[in-house]
Amino acid sequence: MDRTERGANQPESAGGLGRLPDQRVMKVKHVEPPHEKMMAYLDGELPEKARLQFERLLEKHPEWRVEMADMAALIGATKQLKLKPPAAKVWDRYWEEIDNKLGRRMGLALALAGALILIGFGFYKVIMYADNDFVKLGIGLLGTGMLMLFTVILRARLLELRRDRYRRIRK
Amino acid sequence: MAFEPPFSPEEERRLLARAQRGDRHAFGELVEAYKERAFAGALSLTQNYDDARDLSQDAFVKAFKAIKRFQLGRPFYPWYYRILRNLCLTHLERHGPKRRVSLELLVEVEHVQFEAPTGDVVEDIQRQQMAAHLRVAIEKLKPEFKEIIAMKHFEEMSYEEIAQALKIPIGTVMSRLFHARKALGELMREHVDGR
Repeated sequence: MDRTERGANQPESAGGLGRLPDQRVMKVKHVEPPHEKMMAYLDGELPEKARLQFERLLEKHPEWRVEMADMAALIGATKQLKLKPPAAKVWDRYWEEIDNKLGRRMGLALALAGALILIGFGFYKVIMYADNDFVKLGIGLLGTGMLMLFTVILRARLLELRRDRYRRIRK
Repeated sequence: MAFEPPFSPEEERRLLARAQRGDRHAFGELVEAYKERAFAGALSLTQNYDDARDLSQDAFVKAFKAIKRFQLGRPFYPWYYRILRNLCLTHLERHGPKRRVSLELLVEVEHVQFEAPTGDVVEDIQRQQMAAHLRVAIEKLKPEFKEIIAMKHFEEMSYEEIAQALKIPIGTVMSRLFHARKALGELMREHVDGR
């Protein structure tokens, strides 16, 4: 049953007193345009087939043209906005600085690993060969304290990372 | 700033594969190709030239460190943009924005210009004013709307790239763009009506 038949078959009370059936038929429900497709069409992101389909749909709904024209004008104006290029000096040594940071981090990581190995080995040797128990005890406590400090800092850092609400974005 | 597609997907894949093997020179080529886009992205988020430079560089450093986790065959920029966005949001959360739209509208407008002057002084002035109003209107949008407008128009990202960068379906990209533009249109109308 199409809209015309439904309108004609409705009881008179449904349309209100004095309203003719023809008038009810004339009141066509406004169909909202498919806004998502409209965006893709205006941005040139619809594939050929979908674009043609949308154009056929547009022909059937001339009432969408005003909204389309408004949106196209806005997109046109926005497209003309460009970020002002930064001063040329922004690009001076841009990559070199990144490269330096990468090199520095790698160097630091290697140096840290080396230092940890040496310190561990040093502690072991001193404890093994020290002839004084107090020296052994002092070295042992120093080593344990440093290890505890390192663990606490590491744990705090991990907790901070876990609480970081953007960490998923990083992945 | 206009962003030409820097590489063919094949070329980009080759560079990324080399970078994954630790080749910093290959990564440098990617940086050279994407630095302007990256800078524009950071500038849209932070609205500060110095921060944009530093953060876009830091994001490249982080990207190189995480490059082994990158899935070859996918485009590089949306993946990089997620790192950049994360850094910028964290930076803004910690330090706050250095400029605010309510402070000096003119300062915000400094970032924007119409690309090609027409040669007609009056028309150019009108276009500049229009640009200024549009920029102010964009600044008034909700952050998620402002971001998607910047991604589409200032960083010239495709729907596919935006979807990957924000990890949302393409349908959501279209819908968010529509609502952002609708809100932008309303703000512009309010301005024209003098409300």
